[in-house]
Amino acid sequence: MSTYEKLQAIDKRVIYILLALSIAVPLLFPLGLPFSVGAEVKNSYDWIEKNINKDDLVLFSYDISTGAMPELGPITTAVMAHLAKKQVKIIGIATMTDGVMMARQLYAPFAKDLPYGEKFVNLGFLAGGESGLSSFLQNPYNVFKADADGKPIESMPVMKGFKDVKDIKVMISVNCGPVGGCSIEQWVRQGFVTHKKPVWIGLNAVMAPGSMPYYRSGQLTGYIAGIRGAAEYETLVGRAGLGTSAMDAQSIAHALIIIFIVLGNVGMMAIKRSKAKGGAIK
Amino acid sequence: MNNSPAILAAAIVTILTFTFLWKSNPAYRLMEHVLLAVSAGHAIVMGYNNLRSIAWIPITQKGQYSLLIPLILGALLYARYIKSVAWLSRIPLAVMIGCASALALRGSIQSQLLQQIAATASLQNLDSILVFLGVIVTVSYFTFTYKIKGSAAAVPMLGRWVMMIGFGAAFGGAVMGRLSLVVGRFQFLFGDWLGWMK
Repeated sequence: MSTYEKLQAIDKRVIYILLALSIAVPLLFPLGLPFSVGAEVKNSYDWIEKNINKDDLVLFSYDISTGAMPELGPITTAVMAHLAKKQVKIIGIATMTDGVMMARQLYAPFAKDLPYGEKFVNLGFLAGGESGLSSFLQNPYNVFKADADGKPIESMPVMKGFKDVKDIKVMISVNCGPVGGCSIEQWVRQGFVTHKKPVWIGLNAVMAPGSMPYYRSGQLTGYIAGIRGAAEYETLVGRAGLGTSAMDAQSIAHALIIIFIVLGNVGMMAIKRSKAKGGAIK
Repeated sequence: MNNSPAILAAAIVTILTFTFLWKSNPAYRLMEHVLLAVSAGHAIVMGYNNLRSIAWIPITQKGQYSLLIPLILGALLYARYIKSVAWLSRIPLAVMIGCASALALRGSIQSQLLQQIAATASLQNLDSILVFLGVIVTVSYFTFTYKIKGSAAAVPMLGRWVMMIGFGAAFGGAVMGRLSLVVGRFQFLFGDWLGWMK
């Protein structure tokens, strides 16, 4: 087997081991590689900074499946840290079942800054997708009588002044896509188009290109994508977390993948050229 | 090292799932089944709680009998499992599809068509000009009514390249996303479980 053919047939387990090392080593021995803050993240941060004030009502939808936690968890934590700093009131919902658990887990570090019932409530699972969301925005008390733990919500201070969508200052959805919950398109349709409310989104990196047109057309006021977006937001909030610590590992692993893609293509092109010439492959 | 039962269980499940990378094995398949079972169990509990708080309690304790209508419609969905009355399941399906279509239609034209056209047509800088040209050449690729020939054929070909760049960006995002998941698991193993991360 020639060198080029060997390049085409690297055992996938070798690739996996190298990839695991490229992730593990930077996590254990951080390099502190620099990264910049992109325009989208900066604008999203600035929008909250300028437009959201103390005691403003924020609808926060934890549309996060367990599988999406590594990407969306750091985004949520960074945004919640920002909101906790601003001392807003957060109405938490989840349009997918997993999101209820995720909301509990992600709220825990902020229990002191955002006391439960006063500044934060986890209403739980909002069933029905877009129809459910539409119904909730028009009359939240028709859909939720109690929070996720069965406690009545009407007497909670955080719910004071929340009659319907008009009282909400911004809708934030940290969203892993249409896998049982409301998609970004549905949030835009119900939040921005129907009720003329700002919609602010955190999303998986894989969804970023498909969702960018909504941001570019001004239908989304906030747009944070992937672990990189989380790291950038953490930088702006001044709270380094899992996003920042993942950046070194992510960069090294990406570099390794690029090297493998280049090697594979060099091998493929060399073999093609050799075959076209009818010569032996060396 | 954190050996609390939940963390330990999660660490074992993570490692057993990773064994698939070597080759498929019974431990990995067991974890697949565990994941499905846990997800299904969780969804059932959520559904039950929803039915109880939104429908059952208001009907039985507050006398809101109008809620029986959606409850019956929901039950009719299961009629499809009984051949003789399977047609009944079409009624709730029709209601669901009708409501969802009406809701979606109201916003779709505005958000997915008009706003997008307006944003594409606003040529403010080099970036927006490139997006505009990209849209035009991409749309030209889907002109099937007549075959574009000669030098003009370069336009749809350019559209094909623009799409390739778009797919490349989406694939790059997918790779980044999947890697984030692996990084997240490593952060859990090294940080939450072993306590090796600073």
